[in-house]
Amino acid sequence: MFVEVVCPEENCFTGEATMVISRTPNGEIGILEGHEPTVATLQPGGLTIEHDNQRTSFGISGGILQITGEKVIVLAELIEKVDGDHEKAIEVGQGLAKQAFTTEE
Amino acid sequence: MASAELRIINRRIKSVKSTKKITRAMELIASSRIVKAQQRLTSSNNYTNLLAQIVEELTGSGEMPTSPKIEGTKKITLVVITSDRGLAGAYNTNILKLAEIRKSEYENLNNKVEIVTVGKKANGYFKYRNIEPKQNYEGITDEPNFENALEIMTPLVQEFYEGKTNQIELVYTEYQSAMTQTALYKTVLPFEVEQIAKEIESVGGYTFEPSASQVLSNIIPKYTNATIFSALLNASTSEHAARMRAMKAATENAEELIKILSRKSNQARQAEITTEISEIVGGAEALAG
Repeated sequence: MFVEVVCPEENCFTGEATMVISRTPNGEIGILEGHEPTVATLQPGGLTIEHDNQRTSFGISGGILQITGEKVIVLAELIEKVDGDHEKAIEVGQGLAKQAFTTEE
Repeated sequence: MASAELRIINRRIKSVKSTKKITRAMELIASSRIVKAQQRLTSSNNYTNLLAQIVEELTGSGEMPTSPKIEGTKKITLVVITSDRGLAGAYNTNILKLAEIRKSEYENLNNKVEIVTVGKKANGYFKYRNIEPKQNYEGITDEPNFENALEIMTPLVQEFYEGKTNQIELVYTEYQSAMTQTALYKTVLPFEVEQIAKEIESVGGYTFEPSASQVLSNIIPKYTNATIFSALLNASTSEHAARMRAMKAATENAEELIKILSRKSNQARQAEITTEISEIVGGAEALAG
């Protein structure tokens, strides 16, 4: 399955992956090959991509997830690559969201 | 007397030469910045297009964004994006002219217009005309990042939903190519779904999580943020392109001026020599006589 993680400033990840993990308002979501076409909002938190027998994690300030037949696209406003596991990414993502929120004030 | 003229011309040549060095350096700096700015513009366009695609998908499935209805006088916020520094040819003039036109158009329709400026030039322009900008942002346009877009947009969006302003319009310069940049305006809010919705029949049969309307209300702020970010990037790339062109023209003019002045300087030198010779010859003749 082809995964693209796009944010306004750069393309963060493009490539083949076996699984994408994140969180929607309805709960944790893990996407495997052949998932039905979906558009979902993502909560501030982690985004982990399993590819080439390894995991890459990002912290995101929230985002949009689009699954089409052949592609998974994640759109995130603020994103930061994390050295560590999904838990760490969730922390970083929530931090980013808080930061975006304080700019709002 | 003649030597005084020669000295004046030579001094001018020197000063034009040093100006030329400066304009040439500015041209090179601007042209190296364009490349980077263009790359950022491309990736931001990618993001915006993907967002737009999802919005189309949503409106195709029958979801429409809701905006507060307005009656009577509308309050309009114009966000004018210029540069902080000058020496960019007609770049700032064009954008300010357009902003002025939009402003008077709205005011003729009895709307109230407020100005938000990005860049020193716009701020100075409106202040000079006794129009105090509601908000001014500086130091952004050289290399805008996404946080800057949030910083500008978030308070405006809040005002929009509180009804303090009814329309947010951007006035900025769109980068089309290194040679062409156009000043234009774009409405950010209220969110306008153009006719695309009807042409695209709901293609995907997507499942929406948690629900279509919630996804839509989540996506619109993202879309407006992306719009202003892309406007900032467009403006910044255009600024560099305009500066590069202006400085290129300045360098060429300086070269031309140096050519003309060197000719004049040679002429003056020749005149000086002729005078000296005729003085010597005259003196010798007087002695012989």
